Amino acid sequence: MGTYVLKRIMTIIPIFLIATLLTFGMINLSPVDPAEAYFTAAHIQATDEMLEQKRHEFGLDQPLLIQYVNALIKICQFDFGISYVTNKPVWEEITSRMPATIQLTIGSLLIAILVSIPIGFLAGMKKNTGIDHFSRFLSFIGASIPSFWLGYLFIFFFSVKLDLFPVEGTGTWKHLILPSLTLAFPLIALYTRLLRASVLENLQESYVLFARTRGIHEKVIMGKHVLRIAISPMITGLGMNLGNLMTGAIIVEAVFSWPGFGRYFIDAIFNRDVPVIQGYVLLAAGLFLISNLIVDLIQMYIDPRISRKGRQYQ
Amino acid sequence: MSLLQVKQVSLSFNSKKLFKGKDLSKKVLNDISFAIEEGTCLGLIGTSGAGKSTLGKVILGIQRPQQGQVLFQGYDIYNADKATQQKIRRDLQVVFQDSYSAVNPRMTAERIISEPLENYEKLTITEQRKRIIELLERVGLSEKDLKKYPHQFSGGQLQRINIARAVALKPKLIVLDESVSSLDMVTQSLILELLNELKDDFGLSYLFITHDIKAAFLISDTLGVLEKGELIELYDSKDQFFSSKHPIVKRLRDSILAEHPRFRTLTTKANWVNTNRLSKQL
Repeated sequence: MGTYVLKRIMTIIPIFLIATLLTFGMINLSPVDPAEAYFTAAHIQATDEMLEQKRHEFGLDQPLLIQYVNALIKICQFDFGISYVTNKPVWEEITSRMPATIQLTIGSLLIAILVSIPIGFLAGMKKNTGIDHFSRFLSFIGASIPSFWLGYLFIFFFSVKLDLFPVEGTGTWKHLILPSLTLAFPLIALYTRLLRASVLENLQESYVLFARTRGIHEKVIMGKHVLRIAISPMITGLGMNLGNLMTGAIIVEAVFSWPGFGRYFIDAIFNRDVPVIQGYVLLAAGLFLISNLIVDLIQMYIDPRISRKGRQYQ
Repeated sequence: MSLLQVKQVSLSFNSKKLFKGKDLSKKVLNDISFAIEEGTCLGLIGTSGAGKSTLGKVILGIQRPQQGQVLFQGYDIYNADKATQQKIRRDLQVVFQDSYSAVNPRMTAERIISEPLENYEKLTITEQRKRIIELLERVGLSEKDLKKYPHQFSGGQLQRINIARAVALKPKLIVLDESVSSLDMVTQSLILELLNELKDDFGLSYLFITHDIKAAFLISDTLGVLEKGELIELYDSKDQFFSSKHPIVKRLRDSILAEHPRFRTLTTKANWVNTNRLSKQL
């Protein structure tokens, strides 16, 4: 088991290297000249001389390989360069927005898990009953409503009409609820369906039927044999969404004026702020890698077959 | 009073075609009655599709028959209240053919065997562990198998674990539904030997459902032959099976190959065709 964990962690390194290489290559392939972008962002009409000097400063006149190695060394030191727009280190900008994004991620995941597990589980257990129809309705709605509209609906209903939560901004836990709920809604739709399907599938397993014949209590059957296994595809789904949420929810952040990653990076793209874009892509790669690692480790805990290679007679 | 009494059980699966409205109901079990006495083993022999497994399910209480009764220790298992059902299920355990699908692949051997104990008996952890090790050793495995997962066992070993799980509560009756059929000949005879020993040790009774006449002979005290949902003959002793004049029984008897190819006759096939025709007329 230990070796499996170690092996799994080791695979991250080459993948991350490939990600850096791709990012570096793409940025070099793009028609954007960083020196030009720098002066445009600073609203300076640059002469050829100034451009030349800036290119030398950025090290753009060096061979590509050396540029890449230099970039790599800096990345390892969490140095993603200095933003052209704000003139602050990119890493500093990222870490200052990190807490808000993490708050929103955790909030929405918590809501999604707390709502979808009981509904999905009950819907699977009691197929074609009221709760199942309700879950279907909920998933249908959740998958269909666009989040910008849902966000404004929530604001209108909960903030304007009922005056329960603040309209926008951050600060207290009350500020967190509406944006989290908006983000969680499509996730709830997805996870409820996922869980329902896999509960139904697991109920068909022979050992579940056999456990009943052996007189095992229904509670034990459901908990040990059905839920524990049925939850595994949902965890995979959660891992995928964890990466997504951590890299910023642009629309929801815009609706609720939430100071997370999303808007910052969108602005960077429009400003051709190369260091920020590069930092963002690498951050996203890193976050996806880490969230997938977490998922794999949880899966390993749930399903011992994953970490045990080979078959019988070990 | 017999341990298990099956009284006039009939069961058919109904399925109507949507448009034609033709009744496609299939009679799977037809008026079956037999009894199992305490401490004995009834072997039920039948070809594929004879309704053997369905009968097993009826007896286990997971397939309610349309007609008839199943009495276990005098209680009607389909009309008993919850508490009685729970008691019946404790004394009525089962070992299925496919040992892998009968266990949760994510549980260790220890947890598989401890499940019925946790369910019915409140033991301390050390007591329980001791019981499990005893059981494992009784079925021919050892303490070091405790932490293994199902996929780390062979089919025969896993079937031993299934047997250990079934006898863990010292039940009265174990339904063995093709329990040895998917195992090789050597493992089969070892498991049958084990089952015979356990029967004497724990005072068990078996319902041994199989298509394998030889296996049934090795373990059963009484025999029954099931064909197309009907219990055509029931024997108090194995000799009666050999002297039976019933065409289907004859056919089954002929299907046993002689030990040495020299003694195998070519008449078997002709006989089979003949009896097949006969059974259609029945």
